[in-house]
Amino acid sequence: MLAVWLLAVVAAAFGLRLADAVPRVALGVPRGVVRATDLAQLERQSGRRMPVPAYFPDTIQWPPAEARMHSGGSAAVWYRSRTGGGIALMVATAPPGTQEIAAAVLPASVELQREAGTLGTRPAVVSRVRDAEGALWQQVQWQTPGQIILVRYRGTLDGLLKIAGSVHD
Amino acid sequence: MLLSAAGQAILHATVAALFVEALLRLWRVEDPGERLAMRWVAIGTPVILTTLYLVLMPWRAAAWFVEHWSLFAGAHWNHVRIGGAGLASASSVALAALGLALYLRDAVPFVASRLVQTTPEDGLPPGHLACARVRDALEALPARGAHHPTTLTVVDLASPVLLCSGIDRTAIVISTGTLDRLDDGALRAALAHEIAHLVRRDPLTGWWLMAARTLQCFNPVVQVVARQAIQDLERRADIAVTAQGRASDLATAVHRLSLAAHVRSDLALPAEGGHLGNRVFESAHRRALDARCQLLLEGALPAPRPHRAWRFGLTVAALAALLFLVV
Repeated sequence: MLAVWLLAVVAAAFGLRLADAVPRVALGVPRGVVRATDLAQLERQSGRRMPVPAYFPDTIQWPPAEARMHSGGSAAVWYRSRTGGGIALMVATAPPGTQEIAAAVLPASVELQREAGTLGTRPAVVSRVRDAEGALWQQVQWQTPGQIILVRYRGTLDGLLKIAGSVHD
Repeated sequence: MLLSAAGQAILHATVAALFVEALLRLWRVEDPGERLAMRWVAIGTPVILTTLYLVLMPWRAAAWFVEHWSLFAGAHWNHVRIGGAGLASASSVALAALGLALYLRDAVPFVASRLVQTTPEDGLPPGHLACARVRDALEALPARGAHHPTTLTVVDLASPVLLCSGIDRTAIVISTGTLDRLDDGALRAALAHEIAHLVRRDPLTGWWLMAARTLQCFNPVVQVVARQAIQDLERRADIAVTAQGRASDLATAVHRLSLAAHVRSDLALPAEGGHLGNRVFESAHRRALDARCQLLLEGALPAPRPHRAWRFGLTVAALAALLFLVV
């Protein structure tokens, strides 16, 4: 009797979990993440203005290829390369009070190197990460009174710092 | 807010009903009394558990719980959009409309029968032959004493009527149309069935079920499970008649009354014809009635099984835990 009961409970839990996963598998997003149709909708959903760099390299395509929002408040905008090489720039934010930007709004990556630095007058963390396909990215993250901002760029460190430095936070 | 709470009540009722049905099959529970108790768990879940969780634990709706702890979150289905609306919200509205339709399908005729008297209130005089025949049939039944109906009314009506009602002041209403269709053996079995309902205070259970359905009138799952509970009540009364050795007589009564038009009895099913939708319902109802007759003719009594309280407790505990994680 107990074994049957336990089996039923496990099967029910598994079935529920499976049913819960259907929409995110269908939409191709991780748990807790929703896609926004455009930047305006993302800003409405997050309740914050998404930073857009004043310096926008010619190699990056506008409008954004993808806008993602996490249930914890993190948001990210992905930009495609104009030369057809996939995503090349990401700008992500997290609301004040959160520890970090939710990993689910960014593609999976491994941090290879990290160093403390400054961006203008603000302390920042500069790092180098490798994505699932092996491509290297430069990344910088800093905190403003209003939010945490992260810029990840598939290009040179100088290019990254130029883009990040032009963000009006 | 209201839509979200209604959606969660429907979701919880669905999980509870499926889980209870699975356990009834896996544990091979045949005793209708135990099946009825388990159905009450499914019916009571959205009223008690869902309300408790919504009122006492509102933090279950917070993002950290939804993303890290929940097994299933209806909000995730809202990410799939249909015409600008989330799928979960749209489904909640559609299911609530279905629930209301199922509720009104039974409630409207019930209220109408109370407002418009279709059965004569005055019965035939006690000295009438028909009354004497019913009294004789009741006398022939075992253990009638305390469970004898307080009131016995025989009404002069061509269509078959056979009903029991009342909780403390019990009553059986039977029509001459019923008497014309049943021989003495079938009549005794049919009356034994009604008395079995009165012994178990099934009219009271019927009122409780109606109250639960009214409280959850938007919940289609509760409407369906309440109908299953009614079938369990009928099966329990059938078993009481089977235990008296009158199963085949009762099957005869069920069959004969079911063939009549405008029948008003728990032993019968609706007449044929009418709207396509009604025919679909009638077809399902007829199949259920055939299955009921088949069970009666087999004459099998469910074997008593131990640990009933344990099974009930385990079901409630599992549902409390599972539904805590369904938001």
